[in-house]
Amino acid sequence: MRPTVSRSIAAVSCLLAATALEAARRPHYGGTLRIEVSGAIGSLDPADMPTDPAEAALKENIVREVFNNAGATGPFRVANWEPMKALALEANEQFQGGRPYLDRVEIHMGRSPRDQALDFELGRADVIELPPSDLRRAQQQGGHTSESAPCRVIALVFNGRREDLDRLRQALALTIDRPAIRNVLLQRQGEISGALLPAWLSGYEFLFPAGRDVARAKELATLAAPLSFAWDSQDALLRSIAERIVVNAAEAGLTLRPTAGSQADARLVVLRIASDDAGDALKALGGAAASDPLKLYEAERALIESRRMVPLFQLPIAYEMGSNVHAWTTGPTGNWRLEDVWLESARP
Amino acid sequence: MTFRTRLLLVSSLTVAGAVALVSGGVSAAARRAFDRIAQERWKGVLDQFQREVELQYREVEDKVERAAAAPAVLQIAVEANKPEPDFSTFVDEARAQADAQALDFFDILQPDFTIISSAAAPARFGYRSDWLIAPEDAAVTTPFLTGVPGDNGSAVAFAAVRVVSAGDKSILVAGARKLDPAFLASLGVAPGMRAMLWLASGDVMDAAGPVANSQKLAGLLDTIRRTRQQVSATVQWTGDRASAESVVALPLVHRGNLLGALLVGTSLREQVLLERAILWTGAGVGGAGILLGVLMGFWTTLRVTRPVAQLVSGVEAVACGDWSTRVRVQSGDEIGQLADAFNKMTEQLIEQRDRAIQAERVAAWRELARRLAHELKNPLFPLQITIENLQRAREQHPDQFDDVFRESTATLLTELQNLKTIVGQFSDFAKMPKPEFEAVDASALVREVMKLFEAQFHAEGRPAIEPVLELAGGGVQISADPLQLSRALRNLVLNAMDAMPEGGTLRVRTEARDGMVRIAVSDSGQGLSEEECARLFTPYYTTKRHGTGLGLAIVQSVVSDHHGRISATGEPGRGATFMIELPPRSEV
Repeated sequence: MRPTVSRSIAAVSCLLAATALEAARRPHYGGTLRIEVSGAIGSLDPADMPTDPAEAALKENIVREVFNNAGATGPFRVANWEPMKALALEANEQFQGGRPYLDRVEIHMGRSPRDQALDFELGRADVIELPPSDLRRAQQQGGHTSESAPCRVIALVFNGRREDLDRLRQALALTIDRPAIRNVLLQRQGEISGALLPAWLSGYEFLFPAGRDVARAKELATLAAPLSFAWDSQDALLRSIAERIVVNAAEAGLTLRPTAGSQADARLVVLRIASDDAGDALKALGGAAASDPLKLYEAERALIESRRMVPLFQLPIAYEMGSNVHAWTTGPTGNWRLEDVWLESARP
Repeated sequence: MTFRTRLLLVSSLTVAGAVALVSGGVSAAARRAFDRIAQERWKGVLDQFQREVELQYREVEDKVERAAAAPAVLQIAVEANKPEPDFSTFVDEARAQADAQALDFFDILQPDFTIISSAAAPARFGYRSDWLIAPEDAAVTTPFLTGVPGDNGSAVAFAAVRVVSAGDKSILVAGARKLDPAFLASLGVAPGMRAMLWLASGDVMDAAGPVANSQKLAGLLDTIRRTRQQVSATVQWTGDRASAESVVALPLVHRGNLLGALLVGTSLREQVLLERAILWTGAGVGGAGILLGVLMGFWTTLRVTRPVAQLVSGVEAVACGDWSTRVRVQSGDEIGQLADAFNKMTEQLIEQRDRAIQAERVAAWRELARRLAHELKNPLFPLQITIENLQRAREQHPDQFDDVFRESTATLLTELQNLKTIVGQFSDFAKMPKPEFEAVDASALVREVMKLFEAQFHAEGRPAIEPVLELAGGGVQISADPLQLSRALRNLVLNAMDAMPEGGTLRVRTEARDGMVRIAVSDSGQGLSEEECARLFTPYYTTKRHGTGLGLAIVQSVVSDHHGRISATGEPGRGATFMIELPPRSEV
């Protein structure tokens, strides 16, 4: 009798534990999700869209979660708002799509990549942004990551009235060792591209050349005066890419002089693909409206030429999440869907 | 320049020269001493530099050794042995190792020196290292000094290279620590010195950072670039000489490449200040010495030259005719002996003069006696003859005695008159009174004198004399005794008339020239020889048959009393000219 009882008790215990485990792995309500981002916004007004790509993306995500679409109430309501610093959202019980799983979402803005990584390691953040250069390491270390489709464009934009600017733009485009930058500095993330719109969006991205020809670049840069060169010094990835471009340019005999001014001859910038519609995305970048692929191609080409751009890479937006975060999805343009996210072990 | 001035000058120059020599000697000795100290200090700094270099070598060697043994570096070495190595994940490893080992430069390289990861130039992955290292550097285990290019020019660094192997293939790690102001500060140079570092890129730094006015080193650096040997020079950093430094440069060379130079500067400030102090002290002492020399020299020369001055005064007095002058010098030296000799000389001169005067007096009396005898003998002889005629007529021709008596008494009276005249002239010469000066127009006086002789110039029975007056217009004023000067002029006119028995031209001229008034009396008579001109004014000398020889002596006496002088010129057969020169009125 006793062995039978003991076995029965053990079996019940196992069953209860399995049931509890299964229950924890099923979506359930409750908990607070803490997100840290580098961008910061000062207003929740949907009409006041920031120009910085990261901030614009953040604001779009927040506006979508709070206001949903077309002014309809979103899955969350604003619980606390500290401009440029923090935003707290709480679940909207009356959301048409049903109450979100999360009780509360805390978004901490203006956090540097280093602070984000530190908070994540210490368990003070559930979701952080992940630079492309760290995505590979995180994946190799078994971290939970999520990335969008390539939706950010790293490009050189030329400015000024130098007569030889177009020639030097061509020389610089031919001298940049894109594969080396992608393999080493971007840690094989993103795509090499000579186009603004990524291949997944336009389908004709391969038509824009992105090859390297140092000999030709040397010819074009012969006897050229130095070019002033600027980038966002706060962005470590941009800085490393810019430094490599300087080294590559020197190989072709072209001198780039780093400068802090906005009036530099060449600037390394990040452009955002704001829409998953090619026409809208190009229009958002400043191109002409077009729907036909051929016209879209021509419009993009015209935009690149008119703005004197040299697109270099297409990069995704990536996030790293704690292991307790489930159902986090990053849309193709980096958008969130917080109403689907649930926490495995919800904190009180 | 007087003897006293010369003596003062010599004594002052002697003092100044002595001070200058002493100052120069002290300055030179001080400079040599400073140079010797600087040399010793330089050697000390060089030794310290060598020790510090060894220390740095060992540190860099240890650090590179530790970095080479780091797991991450070993992992890269393992990756290198894979068929398709992927170094992309190690791109930041060099920076991590550099931070961990506190190295300024750290590169992880493939065997062909292609950069896998670079701490100082992370963007240069895939490129070949541009350090001044060669495969031989990887083969040796000892550290070395090399050049490392950077964004701001090339740096000189202590470097070490290690080979890290994890299989068949290996990688290289190269670490370096640059020579910077901190390194220069660690040399601990003595006060007044500083260590500087010149880099081939052109930068010059010392322990405090970049060196201002480093272009002043251009000459020195050009020399070291050319010779690549230790050189030295003096560099003056500012306009103040006290800012100068004696700089010794030691080239830093690696594999034939001049990386830079260690410069050790020794401030010359103390030396310059000491030299200035010596100079100013010398100037002060020299000035005081010169002043003292002047005073002492003045006192000395006063003592020395006073007897000389007394001698000079005595000589001048003697020269002026005061032969009774005596010099009182008490000293027994050469000056005293000279004074004694001078006194003896004046005494002898007086004795000789007295003797000469006495002799002259005797001679004059003899001459007077001779002249008197001569002059008196001439009338005495007719007197004797006349008296003998009277006696003979009384005895032999008493009937004719009356006639003879009349004739003889007439002759006797005539001769007696001649005797009276002769005696009168001698009396006049002896009784020449002092002139009574008054303003006189010389031309008017000449005119009056000539008027007295107008009748005689054209007297019957003798050839005519043509008077010609060339008198200065407007008159010529002199101070003179008109009676004496008129007498003198009359004598000259009479002489001229006597000199022209056959008639002729008597020319009298007055003029004021060269500050003197000249009265010239010229005749066209028989003329005078040179000897006659020289002796003409000697008393009792005459060229005339019946002259007493006192006329021209009287004239000369008058002219002399009027502070003038008279001279005679002429040639035999061509007439003679007597020239009286008198001072104008204001100068009398």
